[in-house]
Amino acid sequence: MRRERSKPRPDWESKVAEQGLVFGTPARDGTGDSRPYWDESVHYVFTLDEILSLEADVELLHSMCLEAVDTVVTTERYKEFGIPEWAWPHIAESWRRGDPHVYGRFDLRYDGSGPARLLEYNADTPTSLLEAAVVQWFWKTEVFPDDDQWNSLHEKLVERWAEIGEKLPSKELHFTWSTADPTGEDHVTTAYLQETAAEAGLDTVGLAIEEIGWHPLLKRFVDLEEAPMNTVVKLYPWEWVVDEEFGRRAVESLPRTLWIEPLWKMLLSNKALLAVLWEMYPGHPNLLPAFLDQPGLLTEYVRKPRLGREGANIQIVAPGYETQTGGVYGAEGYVYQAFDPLPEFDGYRPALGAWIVGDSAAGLGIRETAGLVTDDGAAFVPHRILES
Amino acid sequence: MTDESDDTEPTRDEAAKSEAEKNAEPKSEATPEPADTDEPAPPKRGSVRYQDENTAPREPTLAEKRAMRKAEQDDVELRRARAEATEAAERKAQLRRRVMIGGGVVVGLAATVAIWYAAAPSTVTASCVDDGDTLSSDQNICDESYVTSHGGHYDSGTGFFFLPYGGGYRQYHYYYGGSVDPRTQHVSGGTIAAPSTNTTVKSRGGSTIQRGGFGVKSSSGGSSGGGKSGSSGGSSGGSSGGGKSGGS
Repeated sequence: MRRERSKPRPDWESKVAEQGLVFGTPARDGTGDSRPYWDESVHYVFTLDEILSLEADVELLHSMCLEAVDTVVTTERYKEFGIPEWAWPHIAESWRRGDPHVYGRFDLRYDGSGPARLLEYNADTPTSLLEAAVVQWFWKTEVFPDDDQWNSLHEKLVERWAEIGEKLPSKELHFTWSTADPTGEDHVTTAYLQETAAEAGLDTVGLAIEEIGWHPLLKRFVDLEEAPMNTVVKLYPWEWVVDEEFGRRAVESLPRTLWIEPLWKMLLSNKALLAVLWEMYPGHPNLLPAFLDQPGLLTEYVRKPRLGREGANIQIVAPGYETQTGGVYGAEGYVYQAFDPLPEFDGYRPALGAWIVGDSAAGLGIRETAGLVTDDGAAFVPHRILES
Repeated sequence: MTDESDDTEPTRDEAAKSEAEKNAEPKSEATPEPADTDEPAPPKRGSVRYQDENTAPREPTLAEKRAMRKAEQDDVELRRARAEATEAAERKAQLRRRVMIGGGVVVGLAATVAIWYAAAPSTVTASCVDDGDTLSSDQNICDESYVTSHGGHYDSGTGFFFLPYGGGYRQYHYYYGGSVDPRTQHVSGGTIAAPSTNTTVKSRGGSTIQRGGFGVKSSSGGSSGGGKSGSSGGSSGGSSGGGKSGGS
C-alpha cells in the first residue's frame, strides 16, 4: 500500500459532477485550508495480495458482527446499546425473522502490513457509496485503464436486490431520504440505490422521508398517492426513527411494512458493538480492545459516543495525541477503544471504508484526513490495484 | 382513474418504452437473475419514479374503502377527518405539477438528482404563523377564503390574515424559510418578506393522513396538501430546511 500523486484530469470537476458528485463539503488539508472533497491528485496503490487479505478480513468481521447480533439478542443486552426498552422485542423479532439487509461499510485501520483493524461498522446508513462505486471507477478506467480496482459494488448491489426481491412483501420499494440534508448527499445516494434496485427488476418510488404518511384508519404507512408502503428503504438512522413521532409505528408495524436496512442493524451501527465483539473475541487480530462506559485497563484510548456520526465528539487520550472533536452526540454514553493511530502517508491519514453487500465484500473507498479523526473534513481519494 | 392520470405515471411508461427499445430481442418476463459482472444485461428493468408534494392520492381500492368504512364506524372523529381529506385531495389535484423526469434513465439517475442540488432553484417553506412568529396550529388560516369565511379578512397590502379572536382580531402571516423549534413551535431564521420570483414556495398544509412523523420538519402539519403555491413561480425540487444528514 502506498500513496501516489498523479495529474488530475483537466475536466475532473465537470466529470465527477456529471456522475452525481455535487455534494462533498470541501475537505481540509493540514493547515486548515480547503481541499476538494474528491481529490484525484493523489490515490492509493495496493497489490492484489493486500486486497485479497483485506477482503478476507472484511468478510470475517462481517460474520463476527452477525454472531454478535445473535449474542446480544439471545442475552438481551440491549440496555448496553442505549436502546429504548419498548423496541427490544421488535429487534429480536426482526433478527429471528431474518429481515433482509443490503449493505454496510466497515471503517478500517490498515497500513499495508498486518491485519486490518475494525474502527467501526456503518451498517445502517452508510454513505460515500457513489464515490466508491461510480466516481472512482470512472477515474481508474480513464487514468489507469490497465490496472484494477477493488470495486464490484454496483454489480453486487444489483445482485443483492434481485436476491432479496423474492423475500419482500411486494415488488415495489419506496426509497426515502431526508430533505433536511441540504447538500443532496443523502438524496443522491438514495437515487443511486434506487437505480441499482430498478436494474434488478424491482419497481421503485422515491420520496422524502418527511412525506411518509400514516393512515390512521388502515393503520399503515402510505406514500403520497396514499398507497400502502410495503418496503421502505431509508437513509435515515434507526436511532432517529425510533425517537420520532412515527417511530413506534415503524417498529410495531413490522413486518407489514418492512424497512431496509432492517431494525436489527441498530445493534451493528452502535459502537457498543465494538465492546461486545472484544468480549466475544478477545485478542482477535482484526479488533481493537474496547470497553463500555469506562476505559478499563486502557491507558491510551479513543472515546467514541455510542451513536456518533462523521467523527463528531471523539476524544483521543494518548500522550502527544490529545484531540477532541465537537458535536452533538454523547448523551447516550461512550465506548472506549484502544488508540491505534491511523497510519500516516505524506502527512495524511487514510481510513479504509470497506464495503459489504449482502454478506460479501464488495469494494473499497478511502477517506483521508490531515488529523487523526476521519471527520467531515476528510477527502475521498481513489485507489487502484497494480496489475502484476 | 386518478391513478392513471397522475403526473408521475408517464415516467413509468417512458421507462417501459425505453426498456422495450433497449431489449430488441424478446426476453421472458421471468424473475431477474443476478447480474453477471461480464454481461450486465438483466432480463427486466424495474421502474423508477418519484413522488413529491404535488403527487395526488390514488383512488382507494375496494378493500381499502371497506376497511376504512368499518374503521370510520368506530370513530366519529375520524369520519370528519375523512371529509376534510377529500377536500384536501381536490385542492392538491389542482396543484399537480410534474417536477422531475426521472424515468427511463438507465444510467445516471443519481446524476440527474445531483443536478437539482448543483443548480437548484431554491425552495422555501412558507409557514403560517401568528403575530409572535409561532407556528399556527391550523395551517389553513393563512388563506383568504378561510379567514373571510370565518368572519375575518385579508390585508393584501401587508399580507396579514386577520381572524376574530376574543372580541378582537388575531393576526397571522406567512413566514418564509427558517426552522421550527420542535418544542415551542417558534419559527426563526427566515423572513416575512416573500422570496424572489425564482424561488418555489411550499406551504405546510393539512390532510387526514398524518405526515411529517419522520425527519426534522414540524409535526404540526403535514408538508403535503393544499395551501398556496406562491406569489413566486418557478419549478420545485431541491431541499428546504435544516442541515441534518442521515448518512454516515
